[in-house]
Amino acid sequence: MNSQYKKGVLDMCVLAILEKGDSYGYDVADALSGKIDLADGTVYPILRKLATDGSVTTYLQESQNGPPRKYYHLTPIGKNRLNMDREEWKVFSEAVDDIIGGTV
Amino acid sequence: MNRQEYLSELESSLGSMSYKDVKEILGEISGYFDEGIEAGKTEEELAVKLGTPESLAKAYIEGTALPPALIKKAEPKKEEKKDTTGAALFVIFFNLLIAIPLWLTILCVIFGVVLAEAGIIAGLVTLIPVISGMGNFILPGIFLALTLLFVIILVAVVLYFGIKYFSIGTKSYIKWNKKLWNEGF
Repeated sequence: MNSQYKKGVLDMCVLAILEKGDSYGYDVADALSGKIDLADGTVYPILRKLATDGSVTTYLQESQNGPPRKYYHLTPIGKNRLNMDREEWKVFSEAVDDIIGGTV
Repeated sequence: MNRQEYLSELESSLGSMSYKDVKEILGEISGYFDEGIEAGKTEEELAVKLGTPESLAKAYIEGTALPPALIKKAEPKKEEKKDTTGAALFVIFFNLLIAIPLWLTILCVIFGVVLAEAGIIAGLVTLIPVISGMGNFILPGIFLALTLLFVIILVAVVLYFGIKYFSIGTKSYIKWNKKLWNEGF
């Protein structure tokens, strides 16, 4: 699949996964790469970028065995962004489907 | 590629980032290996799933860069026409009333000192042939000649530095005047 498509919507997908609850890198990567064909590494730079722009915050939490995990938590800013992205995506994807003749 | 190789390649590909960022990123990816191994995968499998260290580093670097919209455009330099009339008037009157008279005075003093120096040298030159014919006064004569020589050297040194700083001062004063005239206060 064209990686340019993915690039634009991956931020939104990561935000959407975190909307369901706080999560850590490996888990987010697993959730994404289970559905979209992409390298697991892809989510880490996205998470870092989202943390930098204030869409998510991070905290460390002990795991049963092994070192503490870095958890990501969606902030109100991130939630706002997700909602806006969702609206935009809906309009855009419907328009594209309409043009290429898919079913909406 | 095992975990160690992957992390060191990632580290070298992140090259341009700060030490703190690189350390954090290596920690994040190291955490991925921890989780994966716990889930029963091998380091080699995980390294493949991550994608190449180079492409991961590239994504990190691109993510760190500010989006174009956030990079402030350099403000165009304002070509504001400043009113320099006040400064120009100041330059004219300051020069007429203070600077030029002062400058001429200093010039006259320097000129005077040069003349005095020339006079002392002339005196010494005429004194020298006379000393030998002085008889009993030969010692005071030599003493006088030496004193004159000392004075000549002293005045010459003072003149040298006086003229040097006078010309430097004049140059920078003219420069300051031009700046004031063109750009105002």
